[in-house]
Amino acid sequence: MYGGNSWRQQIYTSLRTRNKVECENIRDLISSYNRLFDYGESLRLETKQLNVQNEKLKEELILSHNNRSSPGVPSSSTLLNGSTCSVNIQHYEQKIYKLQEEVTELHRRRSENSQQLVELNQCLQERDRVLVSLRNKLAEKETELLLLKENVTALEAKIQETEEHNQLLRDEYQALNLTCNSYEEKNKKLIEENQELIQRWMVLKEKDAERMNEENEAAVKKRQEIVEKNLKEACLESKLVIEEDKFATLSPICFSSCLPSKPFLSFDAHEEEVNALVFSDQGRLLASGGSDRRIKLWDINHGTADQKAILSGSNLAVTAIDFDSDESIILGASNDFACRVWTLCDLRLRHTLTGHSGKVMACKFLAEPSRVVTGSHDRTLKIWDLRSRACMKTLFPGSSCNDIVVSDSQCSSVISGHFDKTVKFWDLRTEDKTYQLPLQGRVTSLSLSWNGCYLLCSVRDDSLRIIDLRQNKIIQTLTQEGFHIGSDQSRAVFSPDGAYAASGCGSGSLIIWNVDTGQVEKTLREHTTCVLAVAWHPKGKIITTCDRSKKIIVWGDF
Amino acid sequence: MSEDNAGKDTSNSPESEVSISASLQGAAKEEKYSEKDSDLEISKRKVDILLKATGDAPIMKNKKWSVPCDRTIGSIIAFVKRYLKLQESDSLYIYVNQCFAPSPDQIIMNLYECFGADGKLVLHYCKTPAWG
Amino acid sequence: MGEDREILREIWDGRIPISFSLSSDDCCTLSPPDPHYLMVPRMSYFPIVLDKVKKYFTRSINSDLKIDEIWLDFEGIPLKWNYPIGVLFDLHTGGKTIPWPLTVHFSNFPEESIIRCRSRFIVLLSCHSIYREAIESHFLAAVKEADAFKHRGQVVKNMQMQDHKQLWTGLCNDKFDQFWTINRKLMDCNGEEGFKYIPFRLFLKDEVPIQRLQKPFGEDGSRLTLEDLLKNVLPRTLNENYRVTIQGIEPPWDTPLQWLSEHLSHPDNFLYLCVLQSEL
Repeated sequence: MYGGNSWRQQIYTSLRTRNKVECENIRDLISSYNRLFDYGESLRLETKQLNVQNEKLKEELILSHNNRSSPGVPSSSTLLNGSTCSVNIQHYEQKIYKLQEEVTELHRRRSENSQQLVELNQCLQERDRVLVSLRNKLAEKETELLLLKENVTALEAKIQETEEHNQLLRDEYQALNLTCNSYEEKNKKLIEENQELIQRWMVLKEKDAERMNEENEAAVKKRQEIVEKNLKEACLESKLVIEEDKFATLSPICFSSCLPSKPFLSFDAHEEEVNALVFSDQGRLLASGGSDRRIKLWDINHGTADQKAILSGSNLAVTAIDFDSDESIILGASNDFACRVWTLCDLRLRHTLTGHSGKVMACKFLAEPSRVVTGSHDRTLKIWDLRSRACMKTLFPGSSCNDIVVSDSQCSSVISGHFDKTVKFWDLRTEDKTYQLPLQGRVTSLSLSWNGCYLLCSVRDDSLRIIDLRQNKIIQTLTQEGFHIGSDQSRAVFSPDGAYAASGCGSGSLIIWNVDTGQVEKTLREHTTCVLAVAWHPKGKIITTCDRSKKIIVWGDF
Repeated sequence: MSEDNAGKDTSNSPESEVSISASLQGAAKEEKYSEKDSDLEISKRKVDILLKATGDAPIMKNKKWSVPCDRTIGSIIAFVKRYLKLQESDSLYIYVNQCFAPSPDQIIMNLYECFGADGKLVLHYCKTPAWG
Repeated sequence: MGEDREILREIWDGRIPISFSLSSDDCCTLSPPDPHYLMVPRMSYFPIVLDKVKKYFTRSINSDLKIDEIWLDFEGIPLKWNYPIGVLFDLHTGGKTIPWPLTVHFSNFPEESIIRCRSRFIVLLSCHSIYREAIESHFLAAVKEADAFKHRGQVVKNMQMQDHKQLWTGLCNDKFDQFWTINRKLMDCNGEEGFKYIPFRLFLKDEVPIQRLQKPFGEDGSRLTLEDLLKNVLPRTLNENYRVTIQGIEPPWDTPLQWLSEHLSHPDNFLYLCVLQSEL
């Protein structure tokens, strides 16, 4: 930049000149001076050292002279020399001695060293051995390590596999879950469908029931029409009879029973044995219950056995039947542990009284028609209320009950006959057994006289006993040659006027006793098998019996 | 350091001593200049300096001083040390522009001309080396 | 920077032969010792180069004198050790006396004339090693001051401690390249045309050196020259009897200031101008 300028050139030249004048001309001189100076310095130093050395040597020389001259004390220099010599010799000997000592010392040390060397060698060998063993161990460990690593890889692979498997299973599970859900949904739909169907079915059922009811009503109407027609016909016959009839419907009082002499009807009533046979209070209807689980209603007032109705609902044999005083309700005990209530107007099953744990052997209405007493094989009596359809009270007589009667109009007393050969008296107001009367055998049936003063018991010692309830005493025993009670359920009855007692015999004959005299009035033979029950028409003119071979026979003098 | 400053601060006896010695020196110088060169009247000029403490150095009561411009930094250092009653062995450093320490034989005139501003020269002093 | 290595090398290689003789006051031998001769770099400082001299004269002085209290005089004038040797040489001899005869003293240290103050330097001067440290710190302070002129102190501030050290050791061990690797940064204009101000010291014989602000370029952008500086700084114009030397030579007055500063400055980055009376 400034290179070409004259001032720069001038400066450069003057610098060159300056350096030449100040430096180059004299530099060599100064440097040679410096070299010489240094040289001189070093020489001086050397001289100094040499001087020092010289001095030392001189001193030594003098010392040696002195030593040599010392042995020869007298005068001559030789002596001096000799003495110095001997001193020297002594000196040297001392030196030699020292050196020898040194040599022995060194020898000793060498041996020590060699000893040490040997020890160290041993040590080294030991170390080597240890090292080798350690190496071996190391190798072992390495191989082990390798094995373990392999194991690890194998296990990892396994884990991988398991995980995959798991994944698969999870997927499958999910799929199944999905299908399950869909199935559940289907199921729900089906249930809904099912419910709908059930509803439809119910509706149809209801319709069906209504239709049946209608039919029933139609049948009832038809019957009423027939009855009306009959009544009209009867009206036309005679007025007196109508009055009599009316009276009869109000209170069936029989003034004198007459003993029939021949059967005028005999028919197969049930498909199996006939267990129970009862007239309604007015005598219009006869009810029979059989082992074929049915109760049948009959009208025999017109000389024929008109089957009025079949009441079904029991699951086992019907054992006892009772009408209420209005002839509107009928009660049926059954071996299926239950007692059922039907209404007679529409012949429908109204109630099922369940609660006994054994066969129900007897059932009776109490004075109020809404109350019922039942006796069972489970050794209990139960009082039921039909309005609440519940058991009101349970009595514990301690023995299987075969028959029950309700003693007086107040209905405070219930009398039951038992398997343990006793008749037990219950007062419902005190809720306690008031009295029990032992008999000679198992009591199979009870029957009250029309005035409620006498009780007829059929006893398994093949006799009938009459108990005066006012005295609680047996006042009459009715027996007969060949009379034999065929079953625990054999029923014997008073005649409506209380003058006679009738009972079936195991052999199939019907025997009628005069209560006052205790004599057999009549023996009627028609049945071929054991007669199970006897029913006397409330008007006193007709007796009906039933037996084990499905048969009902109506006895009368028409 | 000049008479008027001493007048302001008469209680401070060491300072007045310095002032006297300094002025004596200054007088000697003046003679020299006047002998040689009558044009160089600058030595009679006075310059304002501002002495600021830095670091652990104690502050001065009076910061602003009017100083003859031929005084050296060394004399300023000596003055400050006396003013602050420091020991002879204590060191004191003076910095210009908070940047460099001027040589003790440097005169105030040069520094004022080159680094002064607003009619005064700012000098920082401290007891330990501060800026390099 | 327009670096002119040729010039820089010549400047660096400047050496002065000096003859040291022991002061008769301190001599304890019968005949005074011979003078000692040395080639000394112009750029260097006395404290750096005096080791050999001290050693040489030790044996000729009283043992109770401290060799570290060494000082020099030329024709009875004590030499200030804090200026470069070349500057002292030019200032005191006008560059004419070769070799430069100096007297070595070990006693009566002229505190008033060499360092006329009671500063750290007085304390430090008492020990040789710290004596060297004193000149080092003085040198670095001067470098910083110069940078304050040139770059407002920014370049030096960004330098690291080891750079400072390298500058100093480069100077001490006379290693041109070692020194200039660092010094080049200080001479850089940082992308501008020139320095802010030219750091210089102008010496009039027997007077305090003058420092002033001097821009390298005029307000119109023209390069200012040595003549401009002299006109600006000197209170009166110089007559024929005076000559101005830098580094022992008289540069033409039309030499640009920027170039002068870059090439003819001393290691402390100051341009030392000596105004000398011509020997008629």
